[in-house]
Amino acid sequence: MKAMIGLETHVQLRTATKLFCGCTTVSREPNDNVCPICMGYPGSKPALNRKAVELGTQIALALNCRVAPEMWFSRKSYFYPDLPKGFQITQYEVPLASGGLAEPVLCGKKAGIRIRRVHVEEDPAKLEHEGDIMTAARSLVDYSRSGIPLCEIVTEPDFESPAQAREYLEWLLSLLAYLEVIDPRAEGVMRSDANISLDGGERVEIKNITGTLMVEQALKSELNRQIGFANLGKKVARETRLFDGATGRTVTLRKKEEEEDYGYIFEPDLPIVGMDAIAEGVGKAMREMPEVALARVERLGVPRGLAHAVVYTPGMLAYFDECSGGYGKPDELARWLANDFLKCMHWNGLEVRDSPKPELIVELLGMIDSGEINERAAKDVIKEMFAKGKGAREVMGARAAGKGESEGEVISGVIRDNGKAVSDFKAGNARALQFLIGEVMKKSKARIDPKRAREMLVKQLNAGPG
Amino acid sequence: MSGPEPAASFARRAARGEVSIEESVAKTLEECEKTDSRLACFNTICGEPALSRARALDGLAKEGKAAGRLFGVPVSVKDNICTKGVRTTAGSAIISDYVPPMSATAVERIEAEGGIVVGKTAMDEFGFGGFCVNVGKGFRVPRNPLDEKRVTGGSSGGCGAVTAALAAAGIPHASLAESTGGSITSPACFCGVVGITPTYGRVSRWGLIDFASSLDKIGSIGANVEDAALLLEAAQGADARDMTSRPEPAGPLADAARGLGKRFRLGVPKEFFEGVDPRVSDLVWGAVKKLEAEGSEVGEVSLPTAKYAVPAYYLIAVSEASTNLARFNGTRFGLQREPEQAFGEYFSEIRAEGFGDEAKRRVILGTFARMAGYRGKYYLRAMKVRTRIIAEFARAFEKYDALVAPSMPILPPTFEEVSGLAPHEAYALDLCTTPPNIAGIPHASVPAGMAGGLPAGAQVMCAHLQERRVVEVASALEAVSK
Repeated sequence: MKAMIGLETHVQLRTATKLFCGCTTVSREPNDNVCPICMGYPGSKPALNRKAVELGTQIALALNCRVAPEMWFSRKSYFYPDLPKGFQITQYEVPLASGGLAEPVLCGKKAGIRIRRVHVEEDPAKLEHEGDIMTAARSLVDYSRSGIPLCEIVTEPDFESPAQAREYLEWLLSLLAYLEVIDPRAEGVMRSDANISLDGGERVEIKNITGTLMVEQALKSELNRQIGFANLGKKVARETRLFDGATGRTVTLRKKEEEEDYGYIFEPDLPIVGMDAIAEGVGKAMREMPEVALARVERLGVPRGLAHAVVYTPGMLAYFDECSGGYGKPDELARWLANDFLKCMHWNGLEVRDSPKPELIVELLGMIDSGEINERAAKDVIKEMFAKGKGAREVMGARAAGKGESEGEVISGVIRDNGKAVSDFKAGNARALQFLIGEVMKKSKARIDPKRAREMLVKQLNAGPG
Repeated sequence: MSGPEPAASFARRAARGEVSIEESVAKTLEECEKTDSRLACFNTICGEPALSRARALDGLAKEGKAAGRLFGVPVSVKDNICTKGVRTTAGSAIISDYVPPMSATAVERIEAEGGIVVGKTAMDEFGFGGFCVNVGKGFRVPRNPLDEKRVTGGSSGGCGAVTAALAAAGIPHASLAESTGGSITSPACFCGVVGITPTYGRVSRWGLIDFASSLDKIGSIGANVEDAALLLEAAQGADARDMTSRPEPAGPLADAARGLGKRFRLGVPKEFFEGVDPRVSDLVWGAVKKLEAEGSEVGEVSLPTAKYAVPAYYLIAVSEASTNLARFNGTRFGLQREPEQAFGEYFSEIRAEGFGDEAKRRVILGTFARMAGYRGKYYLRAMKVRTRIIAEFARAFEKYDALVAPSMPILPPTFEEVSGLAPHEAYALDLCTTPPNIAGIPHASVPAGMAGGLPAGAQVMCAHLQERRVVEVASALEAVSK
């Protein structure tokens, strides 16, 4: 029996302000970023956040959709305590974009998932129940979420298995993180409704599933239920169900005849939005798709794992490209970026754009290559570069000054204090040089690379008197 | 009746420090109280805030820092237009204690020009009516100053009544009103004063408690065309807080009321005269003929789709209204109770108690008109009719500067007459006002003379954004009808 699965996925768009007001999208405590608009005060009116429309357009173009020449907003009416206006501003008849195609590799095979539509809408407020939703004495409303911009991405029922659905969501999440249109770390960044039917059977919708793994679990459980019905010759009823993560089962939320009628009308407080100029601007600024970028970075000789990190860490690909302009070993560069650079970045709670400038990393790698610094020392230096926001030379200068000895002074000191080894070397004993290099390493606490120590020792010993 | 001093001239004298604004406002407030006890035209009179503002303006005048087209002019404001810190009820029991945290843009602009808000005027609940008898539970029904047995017209009934009453007392004043389907024209007509409804979007709706957002227009009512034009001139203009506001520059209007002697190409739409009280049509035609005698061209024009304006208007208006009123459910807005039952039942209880009959009727009608299976037949079809009506007006304005028709098809009715009307009979009386309102074109109602001591109104309609032309033609009609 063939399963047909479709997904409606909501992601939170990464904007500084809400969809229809100037409130920030960041909330530290309940109701700390609210205003008359997102609380639905009588007399207030929505003002559209253009950035959210641009981010939605970016998603639409990345999914190969047709962007509508003009789009409208609609009112979706229903009564619920989390809905301050008694309706949600969303898009209905004329969404931002439609008719797209996503081609991720799912379960080892390149898939063709048709995208029915992409639209933007506002999030309702959040209810906090004092205890369980059914028994709570009180429920509180947090309007900080109210008006947060969401993008809804609706597929045709083109998935054949729960695993495909999960892999698509993982792919989608990394694509949107790559495009920097979402913040993958935001709470509840992705929520999906899934619909599933067996061929010929009625369609069941499972509402509001968080994340990617839960979607697979919910679909598996629902698929098993439907297969069980089919084996018994029973008919699956068309209905909406909820997935209970604790029991791993879906339960009926409402039957078809209880489906709500949202009574959509056009949103009369917002004008029709002409999309041609926006779509053109976004299209021009559109970056290469991550699969393309991945292939390109791999062609430079970067191993797949490192290339993946470079491409999918937000902001890192551009950083990598900028560094590549001044540094000729892409594999070395990728190795540093994907390891020490990334660790330091996370340690300091930074993003790529707040990290040391590309030219400073190029300088550090150049110093390693020339032997001015060894790899072990460089690992310490890069930490300080992140912590202090300074270049490698500055960091090293400060360290040497702190110890009161420059490279040259260390070398001279070692030569002065090891007269026997010096004369052995001059007498042609190669092992004596090895010993002296060891002494330099010890005195400099491995700050001076052995190769560099050898060079400097040979130079001074040959130039010295006697 | 010689009428009060024009608001513009009063404002100039006040700015020069020639009058005490405090004394004038005190006198105005006294008259407002007197009028209100007789006619029930205010929901709130802003005594102390108006007086302290008056004193502040007197101070500015003394320092020679006075400026503003409305300097010291008392302004009344329909009670669905938000005034910061002053109760704004939209005439409904369900939000009778709403004190908005912001003022409407229109109010801010009027205050920036030196206007002083003296009170919030009575209205049909949320604007749901043409006679101002559908006030919310616990609100008083205003009476017509010309004959207290008669209605004021609505829904801006308080604006019409206050304007007529203060004008009769010789007090300069103008009123900020609002029309969705005729709520400025109707009370202006029945109270014998002037009402101007601008192009949809000409005045920002920020701070207006919505009835039907795609139709709501803030406008003005004044004792004469010039006063009404002056108030509109101060209130109009683009506003980033209302994305449906028109971006085009908004020029002066009041001076257009003084440049008489112009000739116009006037169209008279015959459909607007069908079923009209002959005393009204005679007066309107009489005024048109006088303009023709002064050199204007007059032609008859047909707007065949106009007869669908009433049903199309009502379908769109109630569909939008039923969503706009959804927030009044007792969560944040609406009566506040301790919910003891499931939220759905709690909402129903609050709404059953808080809304009046007409509000309930319109919420039910509107919810029905946009239900799956019906929305295509009602809501969406009405939207298409609106597009056709707009196109039909546009064609008429290729040939004519303005269209002139009756404002209301009847003379002001008595309360008894109105109470005998079924809802659909009452809606049918909007036949002259719904076409320009659904098309969003600017229009004015000016007195066209009296029949048996009762005023008839002539309605002037022009193309989108032609407010100045509306004012010109309205003043010409005003002059020949005196």
